[in-house]
Amino acid sequence: MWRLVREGLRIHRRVLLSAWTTGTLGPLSAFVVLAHFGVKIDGWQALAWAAAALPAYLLGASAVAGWITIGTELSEHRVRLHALLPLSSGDLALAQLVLPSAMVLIGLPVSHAAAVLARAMHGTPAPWLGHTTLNLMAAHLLLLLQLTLAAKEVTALRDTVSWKAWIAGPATGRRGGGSESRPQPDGEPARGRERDEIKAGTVLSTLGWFVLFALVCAEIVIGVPYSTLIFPPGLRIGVHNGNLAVCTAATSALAIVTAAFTVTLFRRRTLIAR
Amino acid sequence: MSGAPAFALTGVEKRFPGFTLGPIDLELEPGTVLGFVGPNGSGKSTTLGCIAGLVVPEAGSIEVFGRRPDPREGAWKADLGVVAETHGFYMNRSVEENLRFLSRFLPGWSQERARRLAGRFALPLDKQVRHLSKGNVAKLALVAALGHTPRLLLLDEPTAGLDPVVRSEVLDVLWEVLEDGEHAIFYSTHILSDISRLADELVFLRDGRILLRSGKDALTDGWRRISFRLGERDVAVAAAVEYRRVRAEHQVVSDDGEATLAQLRELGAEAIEQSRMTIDEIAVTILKGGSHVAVG
Repeated sequence: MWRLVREGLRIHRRVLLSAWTTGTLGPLSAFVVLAHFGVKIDGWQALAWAAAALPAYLLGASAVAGWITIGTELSEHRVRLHALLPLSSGDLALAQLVLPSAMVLIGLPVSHAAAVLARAMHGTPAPWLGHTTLNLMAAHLLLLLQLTLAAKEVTALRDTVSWKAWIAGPATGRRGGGSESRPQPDGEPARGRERDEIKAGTVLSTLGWFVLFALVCAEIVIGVPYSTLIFPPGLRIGVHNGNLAVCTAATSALAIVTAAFTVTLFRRRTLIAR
Repeated sequence: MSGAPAFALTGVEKRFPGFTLGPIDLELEPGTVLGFVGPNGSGKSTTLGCIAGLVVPEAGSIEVFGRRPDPREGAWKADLGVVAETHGFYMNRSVEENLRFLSRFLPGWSQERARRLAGRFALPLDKQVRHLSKGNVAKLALVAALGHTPRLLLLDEPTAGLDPVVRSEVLDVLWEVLEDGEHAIFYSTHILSDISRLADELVFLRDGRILLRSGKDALTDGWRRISFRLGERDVAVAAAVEYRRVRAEHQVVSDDGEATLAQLRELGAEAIEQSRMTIDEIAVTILKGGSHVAVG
């Protein structure tokens, strides 16, 4: 699995570097223009504010690189290539999850370094971008990446997974369910069974979406206010009562639960549709 | 494991909405080529996917070289070389980089052999995959499948999109693969001219079911198109797969020409004429499921 991730990172490293370049130079250029006109943000000079926010840009750009990687791997049917390599289905599933997450994990120390640099330059850190906030943002972005991958698997459930195969687990290499799994004569019973399969596939997929919805709700309760910076700093929403470390741990736990859910779906999935 | 079949499918079934494959019972011995023939949507790719571990069947058992392919461990896949409809190569990377990627995972991979095959197929190693023509991507898929000299080759329409010269080169390479008698090829196609050169046996598949499995020579020897004159009424002809009559002129396609001819002589048929059929004609007749037409 690690070899697959390492190779993936080697191949996609240009995406990460491009995302960092675009994600930092773009906003900085905009703030240079604002600084030229003497604009202030929260009492900060625009350029100073941009420099203080640089760690967040780096982290965000790393996550964007993760999404680009997910999209590229999906559009180029990478799993089909990887599935032919002598690797277990668990390794394949984990590698899919770890590769985009690794982009954020690589971005995290870089953004911490940028935060240290910004602090050294300005004397004081931006109040909303301490190291703990960066950790929470990283956890939150990791969760969003995992939710994206889980959504991909849930979508595949309806189209390519027979509910019997899904519930029973991989049947390869062992006898199926005896007379019950034998084909029925053509005609009405077979068509009825087919309708059941389609309905069951839809039900499985819908259940999957409910699981994802529950995970998103949990994340909203736990961490959104402090990790997305959508809400003003200091607003108390969520069960963590403003403790960012608790919030980070809870968000990370949710990301791990989501990843486990995705791995379970992937391992029972048919990789080609008829 | 010596002596074990390259693969063995027993009662394998896979259901998709609107389509059921199987139950399929199929075996392939090392050193042989099995042509898997069927129209689009008949389940060829799904069968191949079951063997390659890309499709999880609902029922049945699969063995590859005597081992049950366990998805929890992937070592058994090292014996397989697969050319599938969808390849999954890194499109923004060169052919060489894609081959190097594979070399890091496939035991027994020879970059030298891969380069030699690429040379034979005139495949540009330095070109990005996204800039390759459809035919060149097919060539890359073949090189990728052959680079580690797998014992079982699973080929799904491998020559689709290739020009006749390269197609011939591909078939030559596949012949060479078979030379040591240990390798087996499962060749799914509807280009029958390819298969008739390579295959020892043919399996015909329609609507997810195997219609017939037969040796290639037995097919070409046994199947005949026979015409004769015998009264203005339908005749129950032995071994007839297809029957047509226009007044007293009868025409049958028989899967046992000798038996049919003997019966017609006994019945006193006149102006009997027979001709051998090509593999293409035989395949079309089998996959059409035969017919009975009478006029006048």
